[in-house]
Amino acid sequence: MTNYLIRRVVGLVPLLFGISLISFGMMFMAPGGPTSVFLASSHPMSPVEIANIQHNLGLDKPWYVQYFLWIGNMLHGDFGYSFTDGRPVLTKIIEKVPVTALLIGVSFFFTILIAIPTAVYSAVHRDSVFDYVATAIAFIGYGTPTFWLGIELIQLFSVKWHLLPDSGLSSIDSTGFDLGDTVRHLVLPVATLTFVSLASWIRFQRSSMLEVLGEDFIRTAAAKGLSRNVVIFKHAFRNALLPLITLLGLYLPALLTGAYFVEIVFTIPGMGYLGLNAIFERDYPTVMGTTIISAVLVVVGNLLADIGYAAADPRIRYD
Amino acid sequence: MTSLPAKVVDTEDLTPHVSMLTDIWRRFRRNRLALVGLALVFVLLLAAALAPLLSHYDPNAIDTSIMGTPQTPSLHHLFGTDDDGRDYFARMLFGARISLEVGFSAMIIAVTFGTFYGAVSGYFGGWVDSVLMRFVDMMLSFPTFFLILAVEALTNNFSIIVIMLVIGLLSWMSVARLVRGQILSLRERDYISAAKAVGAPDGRIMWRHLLPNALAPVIVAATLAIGNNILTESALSYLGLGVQPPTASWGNSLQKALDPDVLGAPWLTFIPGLLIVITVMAFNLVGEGLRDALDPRSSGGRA
Repeated sequence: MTNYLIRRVVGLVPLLFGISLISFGMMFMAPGGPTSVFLASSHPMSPVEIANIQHNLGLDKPWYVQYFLWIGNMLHGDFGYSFTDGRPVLTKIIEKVPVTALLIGVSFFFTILIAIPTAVYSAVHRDSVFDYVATAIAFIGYGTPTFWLGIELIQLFSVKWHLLPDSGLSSIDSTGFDLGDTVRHLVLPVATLTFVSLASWIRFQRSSMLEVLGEDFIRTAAAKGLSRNVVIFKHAFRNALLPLITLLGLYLPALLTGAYFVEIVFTIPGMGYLGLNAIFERDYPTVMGTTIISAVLVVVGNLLADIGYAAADPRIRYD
Repeated sequence: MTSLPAKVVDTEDLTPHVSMLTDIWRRFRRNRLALVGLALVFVLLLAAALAPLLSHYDPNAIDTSIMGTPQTPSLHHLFGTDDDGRDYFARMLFGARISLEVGFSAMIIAVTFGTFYGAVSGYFGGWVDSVLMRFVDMMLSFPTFFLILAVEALTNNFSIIVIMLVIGLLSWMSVARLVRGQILSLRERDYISAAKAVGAPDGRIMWRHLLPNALAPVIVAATLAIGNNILTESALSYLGLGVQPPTASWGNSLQKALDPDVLGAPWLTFIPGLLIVITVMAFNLVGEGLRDALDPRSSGGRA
């Protein structure tokens, strides 16, 4: 296991290197480049001024020098400074992480809470009415744009019925932290994110369960006279849960994207909201920072999922 | 058990000879949901193709007399009018064109590139495979939509062609992985060794022997990709980084959804969203149906 861990972690180095190179290349090759932001600003600049700015930002150096300077700084935790407010990019991102994490965490909890029982029931009662309805809901969920669902919920629950707030994480007039208020603000965003995530988990868990139910050891368990419940829950269900660990790793980018959309629609100040605004304002350091940190979160998530899988499944060998 | 033969051959002769396509269609037809999906896809394609014939309104013509006060759906305006006094039915029809154009084109770009990439990786194996697949890992580590968004914003060009290219060129990775996996398992088969033994060149083995056999999952992935691309385009357009107004797209029709004028006209938000849901669902249903129909070993378990 230790060897496996070491190998996996060492394997991350080239991956992270590549990710940083792609992010850098993307920004470097952008038409106009970072200085276009200054060029577009209200007061027109002379070529000398532009050259000065480029020199100060190190933009007159060859690309590989710029890259190594940039990545060197990043390894020291210096992601550069935001073009819009001059604050360190890393600080700006880190203060948004808890918001996004809260959103993802809470809705993931509800997704699993709903998806797993639904999927298991669907698989055990295959081709029943329940199974068809669950399948239909999953297909609708796949096709539902996150932002549209958010808008519709706002339209119904906030605008029409005045039941729940439509934006932010706390009321403007609230003083300090008020749990009830935060929960009320979370209902619609979490409902949105949960619904669009449900589809994948229901479908995946259902087919995983069906697959296990078709295995020989299930027939053996049933044949030796174990009760149906014991077979389903003790033998099948446990084994059907294993692939979910992998899906968690694979699903992380989609979950982040979903959370970003929810933040945008509900004006919740998380990483997605920050990143999108940075894109609109052409705040390159912040865009690069958000992109890289999202990718790193995904890589780490995948690693944890793989390790979790290896730990949970004795059939996986580490050598 | 090796000498059972005569009877087995007999029963095989009894089954009527059916072509592969007939066989696939026979299996596809059994899945009712997939048939519904296929019917919906046909309706959408027809509506998009015949858009100018189905509505005599110009989707961009502004009726100043009703600007700012969206008209509710009526016989005159099937889907009502939007806040600029434009016929919403016509806009939705032309929006269907955009969605389908982007959906299909981006899919073709992604599938062509992904298939080529995956085939090279799987066929040559070794360090070529390692390098190519590590790159796929890297690309898959980014939340794809965020990457598309950033690239689209950076290129700052929102023509349909660029949107297709950006979506296509940033979504080929899963196809590449899929094809590589197929090729890896196929290339160990005896018939490939046989082809190599008689001296068939790499290109011929790839084209004649490997790719045709790896096609089934690619077709499924391609169908599902169309739905995904349509979602991506609508999201880009919603955020203002996709199809630009006044050109109608389902996504950009939702841009003003939370403006006071539009809030009072809920159908303006509901219709484009519902169209997106139906379209994406239709392609996904067809894709899943094809998955079962193309794989004779599956018992239709993924109904």
